[in-house]
Amino acid sequence: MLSLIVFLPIIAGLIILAVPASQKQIIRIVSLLAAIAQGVIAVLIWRHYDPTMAGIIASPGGSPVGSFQLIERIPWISLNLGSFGPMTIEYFIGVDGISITMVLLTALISIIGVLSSWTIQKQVKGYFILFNLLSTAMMGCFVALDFFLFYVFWEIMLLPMYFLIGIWGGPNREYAAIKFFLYTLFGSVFMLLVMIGLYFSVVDPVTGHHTFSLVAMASQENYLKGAILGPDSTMWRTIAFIVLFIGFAIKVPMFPFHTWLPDAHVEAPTPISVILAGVLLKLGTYGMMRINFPLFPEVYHAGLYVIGVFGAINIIYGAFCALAQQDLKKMVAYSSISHMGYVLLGLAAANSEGMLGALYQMFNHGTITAMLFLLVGVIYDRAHTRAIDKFGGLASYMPVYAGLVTVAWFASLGLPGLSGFISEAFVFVGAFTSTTTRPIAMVSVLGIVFGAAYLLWSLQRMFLGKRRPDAAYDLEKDAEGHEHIHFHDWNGKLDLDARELTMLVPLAVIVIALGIYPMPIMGMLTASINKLVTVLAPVAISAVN
Amino acid sequence: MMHSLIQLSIVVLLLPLLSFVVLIFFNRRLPRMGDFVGVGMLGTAFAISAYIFWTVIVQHYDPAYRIAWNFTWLDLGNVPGVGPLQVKMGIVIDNLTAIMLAMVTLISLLVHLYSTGYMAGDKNYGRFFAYLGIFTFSMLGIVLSDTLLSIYIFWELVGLSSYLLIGFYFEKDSAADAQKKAFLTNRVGDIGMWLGILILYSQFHTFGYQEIFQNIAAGKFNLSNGWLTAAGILLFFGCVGKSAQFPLHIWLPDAMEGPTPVSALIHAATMVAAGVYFVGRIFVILTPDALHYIAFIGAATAFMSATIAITQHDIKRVLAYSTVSQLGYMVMGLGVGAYSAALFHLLTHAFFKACLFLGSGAIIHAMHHEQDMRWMGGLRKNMPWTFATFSIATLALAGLPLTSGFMSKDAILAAALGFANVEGGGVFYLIPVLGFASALMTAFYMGRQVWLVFFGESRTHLKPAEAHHDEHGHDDAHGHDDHGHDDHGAHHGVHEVGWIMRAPLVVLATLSVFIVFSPDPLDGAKGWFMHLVPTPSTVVKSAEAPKTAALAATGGILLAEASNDAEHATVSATPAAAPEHGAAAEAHGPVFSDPRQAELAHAAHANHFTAIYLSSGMVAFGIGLALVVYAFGAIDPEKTAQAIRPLYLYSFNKWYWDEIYDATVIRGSMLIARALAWFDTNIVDGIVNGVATTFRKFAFLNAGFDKYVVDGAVNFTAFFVQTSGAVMRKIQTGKVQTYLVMVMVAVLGYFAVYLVQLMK
Amino acid sequence: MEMFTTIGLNHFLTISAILFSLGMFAVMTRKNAIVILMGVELILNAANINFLTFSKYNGGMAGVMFSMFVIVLAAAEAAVALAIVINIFKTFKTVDVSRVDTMKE
Repeated sequence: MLSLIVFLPIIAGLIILAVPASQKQIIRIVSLLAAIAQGVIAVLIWRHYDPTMAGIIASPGGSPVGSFQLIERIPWISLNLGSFGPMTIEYFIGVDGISITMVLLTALISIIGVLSSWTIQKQVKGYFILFNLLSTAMMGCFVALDFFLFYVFWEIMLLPMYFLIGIWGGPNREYAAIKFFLYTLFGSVFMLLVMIGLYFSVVDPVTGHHTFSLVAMASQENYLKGAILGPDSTMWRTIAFIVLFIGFAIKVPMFPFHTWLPDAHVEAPTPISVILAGVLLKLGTYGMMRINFPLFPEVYHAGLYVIGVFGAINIIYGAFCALAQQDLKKMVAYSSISHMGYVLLGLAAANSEGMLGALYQMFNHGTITAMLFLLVGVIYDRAHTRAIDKFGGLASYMPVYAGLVTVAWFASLGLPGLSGFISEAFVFVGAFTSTTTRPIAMVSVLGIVFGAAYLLWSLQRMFLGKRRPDAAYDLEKDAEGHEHIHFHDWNGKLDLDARELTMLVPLAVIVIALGIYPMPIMGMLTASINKLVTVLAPVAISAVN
Repeated sequence: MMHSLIQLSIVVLLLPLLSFVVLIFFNRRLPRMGDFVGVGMLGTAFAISAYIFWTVIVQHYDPAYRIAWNFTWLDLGNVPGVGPLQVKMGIVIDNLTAIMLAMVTLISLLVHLYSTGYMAGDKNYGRFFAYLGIFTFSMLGIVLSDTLLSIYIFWELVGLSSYLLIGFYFEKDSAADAQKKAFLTNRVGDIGMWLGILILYSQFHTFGYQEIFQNIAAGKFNLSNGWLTAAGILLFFGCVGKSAQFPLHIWLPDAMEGPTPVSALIHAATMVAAGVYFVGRIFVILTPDALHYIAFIGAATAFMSATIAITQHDIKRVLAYSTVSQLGYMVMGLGVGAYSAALFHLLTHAFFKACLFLGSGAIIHAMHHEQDMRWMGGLRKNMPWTFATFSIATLALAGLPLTSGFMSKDAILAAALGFANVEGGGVFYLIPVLGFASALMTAFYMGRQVWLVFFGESRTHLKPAEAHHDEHGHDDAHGHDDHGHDDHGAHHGVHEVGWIMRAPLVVLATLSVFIVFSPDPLDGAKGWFMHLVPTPSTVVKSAEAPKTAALAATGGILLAEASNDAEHATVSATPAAAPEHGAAAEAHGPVFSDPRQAELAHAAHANHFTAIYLSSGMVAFGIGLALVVYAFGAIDPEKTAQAIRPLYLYSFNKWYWDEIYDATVIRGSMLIARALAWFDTNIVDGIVNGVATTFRKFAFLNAGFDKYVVDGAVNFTAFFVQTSGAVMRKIQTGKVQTYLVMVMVAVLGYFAVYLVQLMK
Repeated sequence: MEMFTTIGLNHFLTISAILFSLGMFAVMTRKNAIVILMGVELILNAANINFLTFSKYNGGMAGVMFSMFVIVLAAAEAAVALAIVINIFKTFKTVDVSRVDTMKE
């Protein structure tokens, strides 16, 4: 089941390979069908998932695969390395509470992404092959339970992303693409080193050999005394934690490693922005929750304050930067930085409320930001500009669009009743309850105001008031004296068309529904989050050492 | 099993939401843009609320009446360190809730009805009713909430509906500015409130009022008392934002950009009072220090906005500042411990202020969207109904005896006087002094307003053709100018408004008369409200409450008195307060176990008549002054203004708060934003690009080495091979015979060598 | 004088050597491909004489067997070589080997 959801897009990609490049519609439909099938499987997985099983870690003496679900585990690469012993890399996948939400999110955003890619006209075949490859890699990252497998998916993800930005992007796309690629690669090189170090420090309790299994790595008793990352090697463990953290922090992106994001977003085509903000950023924080923290809990615990400070910087710094932007898409990109700061803050809280808020924020940020980028894409398609000051009064002429923008904008600023509020609220509740991060939480609440400030200000400048004199559209009066607007070079529907509504309305419904009753998603998380908090608690750590 | 009243209250809560959902999606498809949906839903909601009111207030008539119901909203599972943790949401119905429920639905219903006349013909008529629906839903949510989290949720939702309604005419830049300002200012307050909630949650892992109160009463608050004071002040910050208290009062006057019915419903009667209601809900956890802070903020707000209201020209702006001022009274009342009085004022104020705003709406409607009082006058004859109701409400606002406003305002002022006595005077006398001064000014500016609008001759013709500009030229309330002024000259066009707009005025004016609330026009404490909503006993341990020696002495005496009433104290604290004790409690007010509260209650009671005399005198003086200036013309307001021009300008420009905030907070934020954005592009990204450049430079260097040294060696090898090859290829003729000759020579040579060796 | 009266081993070898040298001379100096082929035939026959001679003087039939193979090979070689020559003639319009040097460059 899990393998199917991971590799469906690749199968679709292979089918597309066989379709002639001129058959654009077939290529799109094949991709869409694969994404929808993925979505259906994701929903089935979600329905069959048992939320009482926590996952995260294999309890000592229990099943070696822990309480993960839908496990598939077969040897993949087996080498006899002589004196190093047999090296086994497994194809080991499974889900628990923290990954199933991300699987759902990825499936959802993939469908949205394919729909949003409908307007891509340049080299459709190549585009969709890369898109499907990306989709597989993302899904693979979220279900991989073998570090090596995770790393493979992690790296595979880079390649299509590089080309998707670099070929289908905006005017400055090569710069943005190479920046994204190098930045992420820089992070993953260290990840590779840490991974190898971990391999030689961890022993699978069942086979007695070294292993890449993340489940085995999460149990501190599986670490060899005297190994480079063994329990007594404080210095190396600290260094490993930090470099691994940086590797993931680049993806988040955390200040000061965030500057690839605005460039990548501004240059990337709309669907890629949606994927990038909707799913890829979550890989950073997911990696922290899955790998970085459980593997080095004592370092994590020592670094809570620092992580929290970086979270607060992200929140406030991102909000301020967003306030100053003139380009709508850049503003949304900075808002992503700000919102991912909440995730970091929640992770720094190290209690259930904070962690729950962080993970729920990851899901909500995925849906909300997808909406934001889609909405930016809608106006860019029509006006061919994203300058906030080039509009004005749009609410009178595009009421449906303005309505959906209002929903998305308010969701983003954390209005209660919409999903973003609950996650932000829990992040703050957690961060404030933890005495370590309490002062940080008190500063970070400023983000609530500045978040509202940049969103409302942009809303006002674009949608309220009257058409600005230098706006990107003409004002026309018809025979009856009604005013209409007309975009240059745009012959489609003025307000949202059916395809755009198909993408946006479900997202809006999800955002509202999860804002009113979050348990369908939150209920999946609680057991895993509570387990994770227990595993990370200082008591548990000292018990092992 | 859910109590039937709870079920009904849920229906009341959801009806306006249903109205919103129906109208926002289908208003264009419904006849009359669906206004009957809104009115019908609200009518039903009001009918149910009235039933709840009747059951709770009339039938039970029990100060301790309280039913609650909650459900698990979020289940966080077995949280490490806490145990099983659920986030609950709930509904509480007590006397205050029942009263608020009826008040909110009534005013909302009246505003709905009124709007069918006032908003008729607007192109977004249907959407207006939708917004009113979501507002009413959120407001009822605040009223019914049983937890801090749910009240925060609805708190923000009323902020949203306020945002949407202020910006209803969003094509106007001034309206768009005002809505943004309102939302952001409120958010600043909400931050404080949220932090306050967080402080309490972090200690008890619950949002429920009752659990928090019980935990604090049980002394389980583990942080220092300073944190509890901070929690109280921070929670109060929510009220500062929502109830437009100083220093966050700046948004409310601008909020008058919204349609006038909205001003009546949201920005006068209900939403802005939610702040006071919320502080009332958390009243029991406020420490004395927090209460002092609250009292000072309230008094300062009341005074400041009263001074501003005196000089404003815009009819709605005067009312807006008077609203801020009255809210200041309520907050001050809470701060001085007069919980009942403050909430009583909330209720009475809601009716008469809604009446005033709807009346001003009628005037504006009739005057073809003229809002400047300088160009009105003489409307008494044209609009007798409006005049009558407006006058009654004005008298209530000014606090003349026989009105509802008199009773509530007097109770607050009496408590303020008593509070100053109890706290030992000094700076605390500032609070009653500011309160009485505000009462004077209230009477004056309301007298001025009534006179300018209704008496004298029409001054419409005096209006300059161009939109008038005052000293500062940014009188941004005149947004309706685009409707044109084709009725220059006389009041031909001015007629009384239709019955649908008149009826709400009459209802509200009726509710501003004393008899509705109390049989004794001089003492609100004898009325049903103060009996049913008694001041609750604080849960804060008051070990450190009495500070001064004098205070301790009076406290001792009062304690003795209190112990005499100990029986009442215990009884009235239990839910099943026997009716026969009600009479005793009514005479002396509720009895407290906390010495400070007992003292305050006693002092308020003692100062009751002092306050009546003082405040009546102030009101009489204020109204008299207004008559002297405007009716008899004994003092020329223009000349007086010139004489004290700096003061006049200070008041006219609203103490320059907008300018101050603009220069500091807004510009400061934008400056920081730009600086950080610059920092981001040039420094952070500069470092990234710098690293990239460095690497590229290094790469060039490396490439040079590669090209000249490494590749040089390779190339030399190739060159050597090539050169030698060129020489060697000469031998390769391609002719087999040549090769054969070579073979022969080689063989012969070999033989030769072989032979030579044989020779040896 | 026995050298002249009795035909011995040396006589056969001398004949063979002369025949070989003639063949070698033809192969090395002639330009006509046919003549070169004839030289090759001479060399092969010189080798045959050697085989038979040593077979006679050493006893055993190995030398005879080899010479039989050489005769068969020579026939085959002549057939193939003549075919090549004909092809060379068709391509280059000549059988002069000094002008068939396209492999040189």
